[in-house]
Amino acid sequence: MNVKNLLSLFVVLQLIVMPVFAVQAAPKDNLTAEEQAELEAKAAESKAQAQETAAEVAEKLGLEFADLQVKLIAGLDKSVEAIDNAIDTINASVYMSSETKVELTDGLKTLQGKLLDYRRQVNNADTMEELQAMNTEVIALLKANKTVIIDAIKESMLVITEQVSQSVEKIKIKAEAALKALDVECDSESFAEIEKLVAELETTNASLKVAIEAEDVATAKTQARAAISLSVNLAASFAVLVDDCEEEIQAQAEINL
Amino acid sequence: MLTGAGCFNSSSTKSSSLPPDQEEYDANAEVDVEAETPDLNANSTVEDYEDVSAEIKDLSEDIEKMNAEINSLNSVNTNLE
Repeated sequence: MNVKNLLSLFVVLQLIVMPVFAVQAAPKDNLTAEEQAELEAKAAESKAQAQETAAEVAEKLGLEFADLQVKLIAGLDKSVEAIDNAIDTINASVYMSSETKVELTDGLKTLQGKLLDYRRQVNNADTMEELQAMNTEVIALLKANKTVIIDAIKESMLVITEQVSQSVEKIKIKAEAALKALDVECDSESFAEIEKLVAELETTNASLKVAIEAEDVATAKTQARAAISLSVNLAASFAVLVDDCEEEIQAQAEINL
Repeated sequence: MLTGAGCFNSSSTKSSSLPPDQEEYDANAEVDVEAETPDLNANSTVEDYEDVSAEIKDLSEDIEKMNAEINSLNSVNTNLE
């Protein structure tokens, strides 16, 4: 129990003891029996009221302080955990450099440090006033930073979708160059299929680039997902093409030796 | 005449072989068209084309992994209590 609570309980005890003592100490010799009875009834009533007030004050002081302290710490822990989770997810990325990760998690770490500092202060608080002041400050801090995780995650997604775009571009360059070089008479449906997929990849990548530039994460995610099936299909078609045209490629290479 | 793997100077193949902590990424980097263009011609062998095919497959698998990362980021709780 902290100092304030002890002082408050002392005041409460005074409330209980003093009225009773005062009534008991009053001169009784010149009172009638009726007055004496009335006085005793009032004393009993005061005592009951004092006891009731003591219970209320004790409950109010004790439980509210502990409740608020526990609630504040739980809320701070939850926020710290949410930030931790975001930092871990960003740091787990294979497609972002260490430098980019540091940039993206910097704001998260700063906010987390402040929240942990508040947690220590709340844990060491002695009075309701301290807790209430910290509660107000924490609420203001969280309000001012309510988009910090959203922003970091959004930025991370844009960085990765940029990587998707670059990989799509590389696939397109390789497939087009291979089709151009593959000047052989080969009966394979994969030629047309690859040309169609390259054209679709180009369109998808153009939309992806526009979405990244506009920081439109929802569209960027949609286009990145579209690029997956196109690139997987293109890789499969290219493998089939090489397989279909194996003899012709080999014959051509031998002629040109 | 080109022969075997590694003749295409593909940055994608090189990048995929690196462990994650060595990955270098620059969001503003432009794709190096020359470096990514396979050096194929009339003399190219089936192996040369198979190498290009493998590179395209690696890149498409990379895109799948990138999408998995996007999904992980998407599932992060962004709510601060």
